Amino acid sequence: MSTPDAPHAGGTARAAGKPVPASSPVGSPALDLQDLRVDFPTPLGEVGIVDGVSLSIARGEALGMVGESGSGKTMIALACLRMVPEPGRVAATRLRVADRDLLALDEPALCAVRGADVGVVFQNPMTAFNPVRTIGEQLAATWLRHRPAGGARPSRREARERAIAALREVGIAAPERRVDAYPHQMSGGMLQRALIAHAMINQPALIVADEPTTALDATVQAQILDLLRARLANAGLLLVTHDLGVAAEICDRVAVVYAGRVVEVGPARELLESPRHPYTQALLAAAPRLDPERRPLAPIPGAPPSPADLVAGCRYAPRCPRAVPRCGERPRLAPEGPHAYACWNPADDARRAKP
Amino acid sequence: MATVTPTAAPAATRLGPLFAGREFLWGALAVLLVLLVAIVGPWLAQDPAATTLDRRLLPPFSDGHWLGTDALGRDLWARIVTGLEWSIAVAVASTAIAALIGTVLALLAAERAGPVRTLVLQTVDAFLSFPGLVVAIAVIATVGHGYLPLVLTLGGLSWPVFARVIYAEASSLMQRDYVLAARLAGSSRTRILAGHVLPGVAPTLLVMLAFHLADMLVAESALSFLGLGAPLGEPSLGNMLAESRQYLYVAPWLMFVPACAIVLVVVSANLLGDGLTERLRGRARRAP
Repeated sequence: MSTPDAPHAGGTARAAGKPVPASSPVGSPALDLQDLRVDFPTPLGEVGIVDGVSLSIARGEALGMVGESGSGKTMIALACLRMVPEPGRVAATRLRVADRDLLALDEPALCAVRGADVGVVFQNPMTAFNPVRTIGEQLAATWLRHRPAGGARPSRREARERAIAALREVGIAAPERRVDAYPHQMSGGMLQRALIAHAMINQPALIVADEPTTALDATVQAQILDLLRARLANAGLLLVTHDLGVAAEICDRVAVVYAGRVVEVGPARELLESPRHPYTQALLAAAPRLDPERRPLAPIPGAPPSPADLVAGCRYAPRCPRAVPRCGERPRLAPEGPHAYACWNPADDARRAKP
Repeated sequence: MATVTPTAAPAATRLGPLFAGREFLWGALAVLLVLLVAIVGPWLAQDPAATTLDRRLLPPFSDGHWLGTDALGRDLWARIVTGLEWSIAVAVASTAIAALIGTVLALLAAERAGPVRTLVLQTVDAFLSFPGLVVAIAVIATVGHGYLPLVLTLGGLSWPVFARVIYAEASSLMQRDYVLAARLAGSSRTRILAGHVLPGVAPTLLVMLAFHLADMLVAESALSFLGLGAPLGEPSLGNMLAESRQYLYVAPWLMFVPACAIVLVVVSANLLGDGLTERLRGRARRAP
């Protein structure tokens, strides 16, 4: 990930054996983040919520970002739109969405990018729509807002047609009727579909989905994930979740975030089968599984650190069973390649260890 | 044998349905009637300044003057409707000014954290800590009489009431997911305020407008009573009340007529406000 010339390294290494779609354009990645920092000024000084995160997502690729609550994953997602809440500050050496340098844009230009080049799917679809306006109005508004200036201004009728088409694309039955429905008239799963339609209505290069299935019934979750994956086409997907299973289900690559840093990133299957960072291992051990062999869940001792008092060096070291003296020094993501981890004493490669 | 005798419903409940949910209807009708009288009345009534010195202090239902005449023999009905026109014009304009300043500043404060919000909220606190009428008297005494100074003073002093309430509503709306969603979809600050926050505070704003109208009418009457409102010669509900004081024992109706007019307008506006509350916010409030 550190080499700008090979941002697709992970994308091409579809470990699950899925072929890269031929339509995937070579060139600009959907998202290109280099050394992202998000700082909040506090009375005690600057607090770095996100500290030096580098990620890139190719077109048509899905990256899962996994981490505990408070690890900064939502901040990273918001920083991709330069939407970090006040008084937070975003800094990076590179922050590009589909070849647009977000760091160079002013607020009006950023408004033009949000919703057009980047679409967002929220955690709770019930609250993400304004309750007093119809679904169709809200979809149409987002579409109309991002029509290029000049040229014939699309009519309301055209916008409505576009909203209906968008609803049809996400598998909503009878979209001609649903387009006039108010949010309270639709179920959670249907609203999440509508929200995905909303995020995709302008064919963005990047879709950010922040825990899109957390508020939904278990039965609907898989449908929504499949839908996200299926409608992705040429867009990149940044899927924020705390559920490794969700990430494994639809993502090509997974990045594990701890205390504002990426500790391990790699192709989804490889990372889940042979995690190298002790934190990733601990996360996997803490997740319930449908295994024939029953074993107790292993919680990670201790609590995630407060961003206000972080240790120097590896931030996981105080909770880490494999900590070594060198952990006082900050580890970098290594080795170069699709599967990288920031650890001085990584676990053995489970794949290679087995005969 | 335990026979259950149906207990008679309390009188209040039996009368209840007659009024329940009708505040809005009655309030709206009453306010419309008052407005109609204030607008059309002056055109139809006699000249409110025409004095007939041989027909002074006539009681109501006298020949040609159905509400009677005042100490200078001027027709009381003509003076009431012109006074109503003046008082309502002042109340409406000052309410509009207060609502405009208050809402704009409240939305600004709700949208922008930091010094802007602090400044607005501190200013609101500062204004609310002054006794409004006393400040109004001081300002008008300095600036002078007239419609415009009066309206600007009343509006300029009472906007914090709007700012305080609208700010509270707007800042809670700003926390909603759909506002964040709109921002993430590329809506500008103004678009979010106009498209999501303003419609959200509209019910509260409407209710406040009705109540504030009544407040402003009372304030105008008070100032006119003290001689600081309507200019000399311009009838107003307040200065009619003031003039009637000298004749309290000789012609008490002189006081009753403008006093009843004030009560009527204030009650109508409050009724409308209550009805609007019921209509627009009652459902949410009553939900279990």
